[in-house]
Amino acid sequence: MLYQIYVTYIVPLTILIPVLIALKNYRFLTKPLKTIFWFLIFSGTANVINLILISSHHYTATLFHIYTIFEFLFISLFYNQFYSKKYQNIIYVIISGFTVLCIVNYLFIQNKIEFNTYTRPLEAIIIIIYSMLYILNQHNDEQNWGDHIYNWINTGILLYFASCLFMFIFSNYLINAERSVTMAVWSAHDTLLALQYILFAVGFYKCKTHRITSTY
Amino acid sequence: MQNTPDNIYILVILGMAGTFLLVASFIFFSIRNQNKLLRQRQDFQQAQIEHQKELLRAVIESQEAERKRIGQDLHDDVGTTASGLRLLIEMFKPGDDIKANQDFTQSTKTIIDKIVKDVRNISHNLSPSTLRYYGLAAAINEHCTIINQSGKLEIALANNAEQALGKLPLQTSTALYRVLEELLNNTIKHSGASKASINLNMVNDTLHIEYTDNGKGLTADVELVKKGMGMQNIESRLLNINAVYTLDPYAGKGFRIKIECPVIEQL
Repeated sequence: MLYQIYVTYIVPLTILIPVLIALKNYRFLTKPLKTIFWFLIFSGTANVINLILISSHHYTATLFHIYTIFEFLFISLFYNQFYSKKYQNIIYVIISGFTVLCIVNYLFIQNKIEFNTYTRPLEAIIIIIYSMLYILNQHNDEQNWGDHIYNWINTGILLYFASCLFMFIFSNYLINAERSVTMAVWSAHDTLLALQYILFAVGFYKCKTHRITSTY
Repeated sequence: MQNTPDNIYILVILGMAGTFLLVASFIFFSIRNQNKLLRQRQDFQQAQIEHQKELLRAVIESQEAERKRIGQDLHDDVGTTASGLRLLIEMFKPGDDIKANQDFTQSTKTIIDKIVKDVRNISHNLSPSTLRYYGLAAAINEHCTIINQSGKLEIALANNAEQALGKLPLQTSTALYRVLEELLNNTIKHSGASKASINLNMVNDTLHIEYTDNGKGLTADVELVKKGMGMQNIESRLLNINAVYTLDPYAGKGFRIKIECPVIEQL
C-alpha cells in the first residue's frame, strides 16, 4: 500500500517542486534552464498518460519508446548550449542518429510489448558521456561549486542515468520478476528520479539568487 | 540453474547501488577538489592583495616622510636664511659710509649664495641632475664621493657594467639609484658600519648588484626585516622594474643584498 502511494503519487508529484520553482523564477531562467523546464513539463505529461494507460490496462511499452526519443532530445539540447558551433553540429548528428535508431528498434526489433532495452541504455551512456565532459570542462571554473546552477542540474542527470543504467538494461527481465524484486527496483528508480527533480529544483532556485558579487 | 533469474535481479539492485555510490563519491570528490582549489586560489589572491596594500602603504608613508623632510629643509635652511636676509636689509640704513655699504653688499651676496646652494642641494636630493644627464654610474659615483668625503662611511664602488648602465632607461636607473641611496642611508643610520661596498656586474642580460656593509647586519628573521618601511620601499621600486632581490640573514657579520635587474635596452 505504502509502495503504491510512494510510486503512484509521491514521486510523480515531486516533479511539481522544480516546475513550480521554475515558474516562479521564469524570468530569471537561462536558455539551458528553460530546456530543462520544458523537459520536466514533457516528462510530467508523459507520466500522467502512463498512469492513465496503466489504470485502463493498456500496454505502456510504446510510450517508453517515444519518451526515450524526446528525453534524449531535451537533455542533448541542454548540454548542446555549453559547446561551440562545431561541437553543436556533432550533437545534432547524434540526436538524429539516435532518433532513427529508436524508430528502427521500435518498428523492427523490440516492438509492442517489450521495453526498449537496447536504446534506453545507449541513451543513458551517451548522457553520462555528456555529463562527464561537462564536469571535465568545469574544472577551471573560478566559482564555488554550489553557486554554479548548472552543476546541480548536471549532478541530477548524472546520478539518475548512471544509477539506473543497470535497470534500463534488465528492464525486460524485471517484468517477470517477483513482486518484491520489482518493488525494490522501482522504489530505487523512483527515489533516484525524485532526487533528480530535487537537484533540478535547487538549480532553478539558485538561478534567482545567482548574483555576481565583488570581493573588493 | 533455476535460480538464475533471481540472481540477475539481485545483480541489478547491486549494480544500481554500486553505480550510485560510485557516481555520488565521484561528484563528492569533484566538489571537494574544486572548492579546495578555489579556496587556495582565493587565499593566494588575498595574500597578494595584502602584500600590494602593504607596499602601497610604504610608498605613501615614504612620500609623506619625504615631504616632511623637504618641508623641514626649506624651513630650516632656506626659510631661516631668507629671514636673516630680510632682517639684514631691514636693519640697513643707506648712508654715505662706503665701507658699510660694501659690507652690506658682501653680506647679502653671501647669504643669497647660501640660499642658492641650499635650494640646489634640496633639488638635487629630489631629482639628481647627474642621473639625468650623465647616467646611473656617474650618479652613484657622485653620491659615494659625497658620503666618502663626509667621513661617515667608506664606500668601495666596483663598476664592471659601465656599458650596460649607460643603456638603462631613466625609470630603471632612477629606481636603482633610489634603492642604493636607501641602502646607504640605512647603513649610515642603523648599522653602525664603517665600510660598505657596491659591486655592479653584468651576467648575460641581467645587471647584478651586490651591496654589503660591515655593520651589525639584519636580525635573523628576514621576514621581519621585509616588513620594515625602508625594505618595502626598496621592494616596491624593484618590483616596478621587474628586478628581484635576495637578502641574506647575516646577523653579526654585516648586511648583504643581491639585486638582479633585467636590462632592456632603451629604444
